[in-house]
Amino acid sequence: MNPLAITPSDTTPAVVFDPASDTLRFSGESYPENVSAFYEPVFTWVKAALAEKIPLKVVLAFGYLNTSSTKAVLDLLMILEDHHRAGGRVQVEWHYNPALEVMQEAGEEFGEDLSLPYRLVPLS
Amino acid sequence: MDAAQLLAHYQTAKEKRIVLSFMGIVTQEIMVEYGKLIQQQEGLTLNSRQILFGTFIELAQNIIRYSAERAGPADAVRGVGLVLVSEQETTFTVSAGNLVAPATADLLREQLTALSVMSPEELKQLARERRKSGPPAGSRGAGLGLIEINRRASSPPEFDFSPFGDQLFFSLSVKIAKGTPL
Repeated sequence: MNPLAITPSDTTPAVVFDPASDTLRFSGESYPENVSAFYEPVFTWVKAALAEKIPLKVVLAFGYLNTSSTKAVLDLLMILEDHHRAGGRVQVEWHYNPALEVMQEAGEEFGEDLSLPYRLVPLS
Repeated sequence: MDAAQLLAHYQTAKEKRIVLSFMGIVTQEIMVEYGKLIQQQEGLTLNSRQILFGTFIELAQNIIRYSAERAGPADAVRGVGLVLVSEQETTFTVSAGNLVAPATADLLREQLTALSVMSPEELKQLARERRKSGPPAGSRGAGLGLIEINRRASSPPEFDFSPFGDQLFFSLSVKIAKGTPL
């Protein structure tokens, strides 16, 4: 699998794959001017990883998401959900600061339509 | 502007408790730097600060994408507009203003009127449907911004359209509760 290590900017999160734990982690804030330009290459990488049957653990640890980015996150979750429904192994964790009810709610709402293993993790 | 005009401008800003204001070409960079100031704002809960920041970002990105008044270098044309944050007793207000074409004004008025009478639960469901179905025609975002703004506001946002030449000046003010600090 190709390595993936995108460094964060003011408006885009870090996206890093750790091959030792098969974990793909998003962390930071997401409100880029062009959401697809940022997320499309990541989606391409994810699809390739799933095609190679890597049992991905995806950690979503966003500090802030603008509304265009919430759409991109849902698109990512749908890719993972399709893989799960086709019998693939994948799990997702939503990490959030418990002082931010808006981020907790966002995590809960993303989970509502998913059948894949999905866990909300409040960070202390 | 002469000294008297600057003083009047400053006095108005003080009276209205303006925390920050910007008028001009709204670039991504300006939005980011103003956003950093908002993230350091005191006197509200972390959650409310996040809502204040998010509302500012959505309104600034609306100006960048949709303002009918465009300016800047040819390869990076951006929207021109006004965006400001002011403080009240129990709320902060994010206000934005920019020119729109008459057809856009009709569309916005229709959308904002419909959103203003929806309950938080209805707004949540609408956001959910819109996130799945994708943006409506003519949108360069996810078409979710105004829904989210209405959902998080402490009272229905106030909006207005005033004639300005052959276009209209669209203004929108969104109140955000400071919340109860823990």
